[in-house]
Amino acid sequence: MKNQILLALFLSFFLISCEEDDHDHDECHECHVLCAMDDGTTHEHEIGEFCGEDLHDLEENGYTLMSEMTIKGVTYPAGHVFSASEVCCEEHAH
Amino acid sequence: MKLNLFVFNFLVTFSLFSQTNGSVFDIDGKPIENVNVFVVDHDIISFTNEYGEFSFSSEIPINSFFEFKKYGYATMLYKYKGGEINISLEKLHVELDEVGIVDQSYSLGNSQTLSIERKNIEGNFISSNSLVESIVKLPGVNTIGSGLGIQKIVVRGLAGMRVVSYLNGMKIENQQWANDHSLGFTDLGLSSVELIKGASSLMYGGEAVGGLVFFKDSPFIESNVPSGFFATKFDYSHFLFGNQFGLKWSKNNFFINLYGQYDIATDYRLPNNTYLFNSRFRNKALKLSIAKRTKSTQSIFRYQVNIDEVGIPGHVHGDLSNVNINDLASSQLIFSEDYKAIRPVQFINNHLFTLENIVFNDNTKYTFFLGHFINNMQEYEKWTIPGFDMTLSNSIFRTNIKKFISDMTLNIGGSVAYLENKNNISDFLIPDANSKDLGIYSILDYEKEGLGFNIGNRYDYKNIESSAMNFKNSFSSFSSSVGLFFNKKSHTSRLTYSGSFRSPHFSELFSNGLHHGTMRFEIGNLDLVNEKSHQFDFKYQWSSNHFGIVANPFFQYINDFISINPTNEFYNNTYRIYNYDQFKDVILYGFEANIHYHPHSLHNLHFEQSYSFLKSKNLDQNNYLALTPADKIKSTINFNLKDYNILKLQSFSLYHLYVFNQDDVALFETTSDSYNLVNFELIFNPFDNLTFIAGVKNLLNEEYIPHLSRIKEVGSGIPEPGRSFNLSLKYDF
Repeated sequence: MKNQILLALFLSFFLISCEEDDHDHDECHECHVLCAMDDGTTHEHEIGEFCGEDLHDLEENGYTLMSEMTIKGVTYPAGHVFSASEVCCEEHAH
Repeated sequence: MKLNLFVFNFLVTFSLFSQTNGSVFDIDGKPIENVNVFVVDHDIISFTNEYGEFSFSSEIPINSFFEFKKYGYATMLYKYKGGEINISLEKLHVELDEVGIVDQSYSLGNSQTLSIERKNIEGNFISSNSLVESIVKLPGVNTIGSGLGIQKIVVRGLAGMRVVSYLNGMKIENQQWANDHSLGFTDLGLSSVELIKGASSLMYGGEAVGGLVFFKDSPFIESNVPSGFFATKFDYSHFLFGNQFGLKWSKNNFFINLYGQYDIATDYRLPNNTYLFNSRFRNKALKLSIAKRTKSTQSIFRYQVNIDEVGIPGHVHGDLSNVNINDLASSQLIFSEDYKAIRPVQFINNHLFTLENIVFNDNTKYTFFLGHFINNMQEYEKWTIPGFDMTLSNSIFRTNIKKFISDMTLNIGGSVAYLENKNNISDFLIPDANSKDLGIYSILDYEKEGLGFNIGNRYDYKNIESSAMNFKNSFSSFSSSVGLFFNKKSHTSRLTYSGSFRSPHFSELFSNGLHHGTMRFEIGNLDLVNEKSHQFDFKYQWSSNHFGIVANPFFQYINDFISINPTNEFYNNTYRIYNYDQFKDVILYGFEANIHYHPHSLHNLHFEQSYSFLKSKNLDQNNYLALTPADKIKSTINFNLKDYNILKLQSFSLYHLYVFNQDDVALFETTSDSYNLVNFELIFNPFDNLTFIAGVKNLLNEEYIPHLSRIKEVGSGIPEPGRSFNLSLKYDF
């Protein structure tokens, strides 16, 4: 009986202390920008992999085109800024 | 010297006590072993020994209620009049206690004069995959959600702010306005749930326009020997692994209960053998309850922490209807990756503290309750920056005086509550806001010789303030409830009227931002006024030794119904914009029925069936309300095999759910098809104190999309989990 109680107490501490910090992500993620099309749909255009501080900067400040880019017939000039809400780095199904 | 005398007096008070004893027999005078003897007001349980005897280490105050319960016998409620207790229990074959045929104790009030339903959820962890899954077996109760990760309760078509949840007397405020925000706690340490459909429970506030759900912890145990359990389970649909433990102990009128839980689940398997991406979740919980009692007082302190990580599946950008659901599902699971939290995700931390003090007098019970609930919710769509990070804290002080006057019971009380929403980052959906709520009520119950009534009034004054929105307004209103009850020769009829109000919530008044969980941009309305409800509920019950029936029609009329409605505008060309508005006239009406039958020749075989029918109407627009549940028939066959000694099998049960199609839909809402769901379960007792359960859910691998699924409108609709098996094991000591 004593052992069972000790085991239960041990488990309770284990359960509470094994919290992982899922809020800080040093790993890298593939990101894309959301491009509004003329027909009302949205196209997701890949912009590459971002890591650590670069990922944070991208998610906070958005993405600035370094050179002109044409996506599905729409041309975006160099310097065009996709706002933070137009940038997404969440994963999709595999 | 004075101090010494005080300490001496204090110690004497706590150490001098006499016992309350009694015995339980059947109608032939034979002792009954293992009867649950529950002292309702003290929340303490004991069990009869082989001679049918029980005892409590200190004297129980007179007028306390005892509940005597054992499977196969009629549950008995007994009002203690002093001296030794001798109880005779009658054999019972039909048990419809969940729908109120059996007279038993309720936290929400008198079961005769109020229409209260109760479900025992003591063994829920091993017999159900979730707490809500068990509750939705009650007629008229449904769930909004997706898989097991996100589930919330719907009562007669109403949910969110309209269905108020209480946990051990504390109102749970956990941003429940949104369909992606779950209940906020699990079945850990819970023993029962009580439900009032509509707003009859004035003691716990008038805001429960749709209903009130009261969760209650397992009672303390009168035993010097520690007891408890370990339980573990596996569910194939989510690849869920869950573990729980519980410990109970008492000595010299000091009681302690301790529980812990850890669940981890990955993406659920769809009927086509793919896996709905990001439907994973994780839960950790710890619960501690401590009580100290004397002859005339009792104090209970409870603390509970609940930590959830909930993935939000079905996340898309742009028009939801243009999505191919195969793009949202994985062809296989990668176990090293697919238990990890990804995006979008909710991180939820709930802390609950309560302190309840009760003073017992011969004919009066005084209750003082203090509670504090903290809910922190972070919702991430991005990896490094939360979409919102809000802390909602709720503090309540409540007092109640319960006085017994001959055949009447009078409850008088009041409550003061302070609710505060605080944003921890600059981005927010709901701004910083607070509300102060003051309520007073009186409820009178009368019951004599099969006739009774209940009458009550409540006045609430609420002040809502948000400096960020430059808003300050007060909302006040009267709530009332009247119930009549008549019982003769196993026929019971009960008619209830309840009039209640609900003041607008912060989310309805102040929302202004992108809500990633629902994939919409929500805009509040500062001009909202109180929502007012009038409900009539009639319940007829009859039971014999082999047959029981319940019929329950109802009608509800709601003025100024607050609703969130889609517009034709989009935010960022991606997220549809929704506005909060009010409909002047809305009605909901329906009918619920239960039958329970068992053949005379096979007392161990039970058939139970319930039917629920609901219609809603928005009279302003002459169409229907969104998210009105489809009609349902729920059937259960339960065969108790304890007496047959077959492979240590204790029982076999088969559950069938038939859900009708729902064509009565609101603007921009799609219809839904009918479906059948079949589950079965085998319960074994391979060794003493060990319970093993094996079951199959969705036996027919039906591809079904409930009308209330929060991912019904994504693509052609995302189905619920396919066929799955579940195994669970519990060891009691």
